[in-house]
Amino acid sequence: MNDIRINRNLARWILLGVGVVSLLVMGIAYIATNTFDTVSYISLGIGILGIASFVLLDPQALVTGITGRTSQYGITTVLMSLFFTVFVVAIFIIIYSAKLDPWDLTKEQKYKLSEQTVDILAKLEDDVHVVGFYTEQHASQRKDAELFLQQYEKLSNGKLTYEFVDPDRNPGMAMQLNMTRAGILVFSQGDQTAEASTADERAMSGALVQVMSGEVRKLYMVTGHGERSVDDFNTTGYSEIGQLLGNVNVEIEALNLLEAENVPEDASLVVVAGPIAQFSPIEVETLKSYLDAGGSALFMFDPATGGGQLGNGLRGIAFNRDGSRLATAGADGTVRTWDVGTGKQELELRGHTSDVLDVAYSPDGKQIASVGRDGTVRVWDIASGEQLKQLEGQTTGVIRIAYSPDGRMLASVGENQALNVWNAKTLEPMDYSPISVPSPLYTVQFSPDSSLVAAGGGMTSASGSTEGPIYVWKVKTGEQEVAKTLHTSLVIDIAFSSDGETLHTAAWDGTGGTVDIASGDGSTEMLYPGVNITSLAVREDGTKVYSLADGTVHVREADAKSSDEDAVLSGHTDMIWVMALSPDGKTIATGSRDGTARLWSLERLASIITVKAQDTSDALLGYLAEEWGVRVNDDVVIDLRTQSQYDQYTPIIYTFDQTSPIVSALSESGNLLVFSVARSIQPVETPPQDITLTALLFSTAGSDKSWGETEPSQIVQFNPDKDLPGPVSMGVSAENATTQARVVIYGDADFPSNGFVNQYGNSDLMMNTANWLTESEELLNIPVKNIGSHMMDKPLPQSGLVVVYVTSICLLPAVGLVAGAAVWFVRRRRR
Amino acid sequence: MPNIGRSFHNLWTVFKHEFSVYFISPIIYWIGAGWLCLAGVFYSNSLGFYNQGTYEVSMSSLFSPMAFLTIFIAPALTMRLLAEEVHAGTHELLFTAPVRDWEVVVGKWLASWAVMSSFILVTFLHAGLLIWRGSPNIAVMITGYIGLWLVCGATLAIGVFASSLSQYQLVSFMISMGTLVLLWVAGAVSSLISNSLLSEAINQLTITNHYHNTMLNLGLVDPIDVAYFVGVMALFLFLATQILGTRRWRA
Repeated sequence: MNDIRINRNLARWILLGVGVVSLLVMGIAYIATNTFDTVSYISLGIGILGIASFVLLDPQALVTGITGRTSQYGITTVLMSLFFTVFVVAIFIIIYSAKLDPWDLTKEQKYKLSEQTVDILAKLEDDVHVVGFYTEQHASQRKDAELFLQQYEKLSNGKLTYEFVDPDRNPGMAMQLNMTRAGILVFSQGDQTAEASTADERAMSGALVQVMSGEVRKLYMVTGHGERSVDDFNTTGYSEIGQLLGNVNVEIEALNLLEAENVPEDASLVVVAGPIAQFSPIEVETLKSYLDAGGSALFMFDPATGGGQLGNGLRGIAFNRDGSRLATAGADGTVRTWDVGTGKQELELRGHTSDVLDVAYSPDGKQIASVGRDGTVRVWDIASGEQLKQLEGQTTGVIRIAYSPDGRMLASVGENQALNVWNAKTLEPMDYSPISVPSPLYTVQFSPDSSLVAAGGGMTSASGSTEGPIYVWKVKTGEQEVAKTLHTSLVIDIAFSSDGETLHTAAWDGTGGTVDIASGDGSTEMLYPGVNITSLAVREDGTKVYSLADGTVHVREADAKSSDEDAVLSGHTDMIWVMALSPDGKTIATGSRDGTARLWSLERLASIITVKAQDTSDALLGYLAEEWGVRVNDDVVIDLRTQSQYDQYTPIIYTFDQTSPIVSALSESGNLLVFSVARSIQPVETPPQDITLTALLFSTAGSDKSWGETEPSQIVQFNPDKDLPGPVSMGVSAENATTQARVVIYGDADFPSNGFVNQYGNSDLMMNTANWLTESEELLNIPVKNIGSHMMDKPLPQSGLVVVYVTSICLLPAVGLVAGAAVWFVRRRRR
Repeated sequence: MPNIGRSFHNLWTVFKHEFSVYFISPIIYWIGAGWLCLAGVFYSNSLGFYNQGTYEVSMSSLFSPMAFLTIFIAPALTMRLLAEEVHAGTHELLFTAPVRDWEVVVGKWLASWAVMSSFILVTFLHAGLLIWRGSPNIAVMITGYIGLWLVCGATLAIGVFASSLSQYQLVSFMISMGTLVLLWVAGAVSSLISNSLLSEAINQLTITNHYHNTMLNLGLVDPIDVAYFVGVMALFLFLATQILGTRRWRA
């Protein structure tokens, strides 16, 4: 009898268990899949059966179970537990719904909203809904967004609502809401939408403002003068700042002022970022019209690279066929032509976006060919002053160009380690062009009968030895006639003898050489020991003219035995860069680093005229000075205070104007800026009418610590006559009260570049400047706070690491083991 | 008002008794040694990376596995707390004295929490090295410790409750470990559930959601997280007290 009872007891409990489990399974399946199908019905059935059999198999036990004394106690316990559980859960739910702000212990206070956002939210009138499309991968961004949006919702008094949709889990919802991509927040008010692609305050408030106002800010970056680009990912490029601006819904496009007649209507801001070549007057006019109509512009100028056209900026010089004209290639990006007789400038050819390195007249006098640091070879029509063509070929790195005397061919050489030859009439490359050589080439010349073309150059190998090869090729076929390593130094210039049978060479180490073209034999001779030769010209009678690095020109008769017999033309006080011989062999034109260009007569062995550098004014800088009252000075800011961290050409700026909204937050928070090789920007004493000027940021005070250096040299010294004493201003903002136009000018184009934008307050400066210029005042000074960098400042040496490993993995635990063993022994002993 | 002074006195008595019982057994030292050894392994591993200078210095890479380990250590520490007396038969002694059930439960729980806290205290050495040689984010470190401490308290409370359910320590161990594993991984399941209310509820039940996001990594102390841990402690200690109470008439 007992067995049956025990078995029955067991059976009913088992059946109950099965029944309960079955019900549970049914419940979970329903919740997970939201469907109630046949399987669910079966589970339900099993559940009911199980519970029923539990009751029916032993009804008596159940009754006593429910009404007996122990069960009464039991029921109390169950009820108490239930109530307490409900109580705890209820409190939890209340606290959850309250969405209280977390207590932030970090000093960066990443999630604390700025006053600007508080103000924006207070002004919010119509409802804004925010949807965050985040998947599992974006968990941390979602958390960030949530921490911010919680506060936004509260501060907006419920006008701003938000939700999160996971496109992986809920694709239907995502589609319904027109999700473009995951990992973004979409703000919408009525029909307007705006996106924030990062979960930070600046992007979110930016999107909020945009959706409230319904405007997109369009920014145009000027091109054509070697300016920086947001498509450039190198250290000097602007790709990162382009991203940051994109995050606050600023659209960026390029703008070529020469091609466009006007600045587009939708431009909120025009940016000129670090131009190298000069602006033409037409381009300045276009800008001027835009600004006069109330536009805004940001200019960033790096210190001048070449000192304009003449003197320091003179890179190439050439006479035309009859010697009546001179063409100059300048570091300002222009090719200019001059009347030799009057010394007046005739043409100004623009197109190169950076320094022009060499220039040559076509023998028929109708064209000019030029090569630039921008990697282009261009041919210009003299009559119209227009560019005819940009030649194709391997042109990057080309530094020298020459026409053949019969005018049929054009050749170039350079650091591209190739000879490029074009048909001068069709301007198409020859079949055999380009011809590669193993080293850079620094000079190219055609033979007098135009059948041969020669080039010379060289390089220093890794082992330190230098070779100076020369090459001669047949122009028609490209066949190599001569390839000879003549000098042990770089071949800097070559010239054919008038009969075309000998090639004269000059090398950097002061040696001169000759090569017989037919045989290929050659020899060299030390001419000027210890002095560098910079160019060579050979007259018809065999007289050689050398320009030297000491600033002198040596004229050497064909039969001279030594350099002592040279006629010396002195006058230049610094290295001569370039030299050209007039076609009649009577005049020499030289350009020197001392800032002057001179014409010399070889007959009288005397200087004819001297032209000082810098007659060519920059139209853009002139416009900014006259109409806006801002001087962009030709200097480099030196700050000795920052020497220990960077160098004296990298001013670290911590002095700001107190009132300007562009920099006031930087000033208040004690943040810094890093400028790299900057020039000073000064407001004039009396601004033009209606213009308000504010100098924004300064270098260290005191002329002993910082100044604007006008003549940089090895010796770093303040010159009170010429240099601007510190504190030197490197940024000015200007506003025209009548037109409402705004302009900001900085003396550095590097601070927002990829290499510097993440340092200190650099990105803040750029964002604030953009916001002030586009009159998005509400967005000014919303910082994006990142939790600072927490690195291992003092890494452990290898030995230290080992000590830590051993201690933490072995020693400390060993102490525990030993202590435990000790205790164990003691206890054993006790027993 | 029932005598608060007496309650505290009783709590303290139970606490002292239990705390000393912990330390006369070698097991605790060996568990501690094992825990410290594992901590050392995780710590040394991350130290290698920090030393290269490319990673940010933080204790979080140690806190995270430590929190996970409580799934095993909490049951181990608590399994005997309320079971032992039943088995050894000494609980009757305890009950004849004028001490309440909740005082027993809370006192023992506090003792176990104190033991785990002492394990955590040793890691101050590890943190100290990072502070000495690097510049870790102190705020994040502080909240990381607070969170870890709360996780311990909560998991131990669950362990105490499990221990009250059975006289067999092994059973208590399994129950508490099972519950803890459930609470740890529940979050993974929530992404499969389409009902957003239920999935959010499950998320809120998961321990990791209340430690890993804010206190561990961001230096924030969110009231809801504190409420979660305190709530878990309160609930399970209450339940344990109730179960303990039933022993009187069950036995």
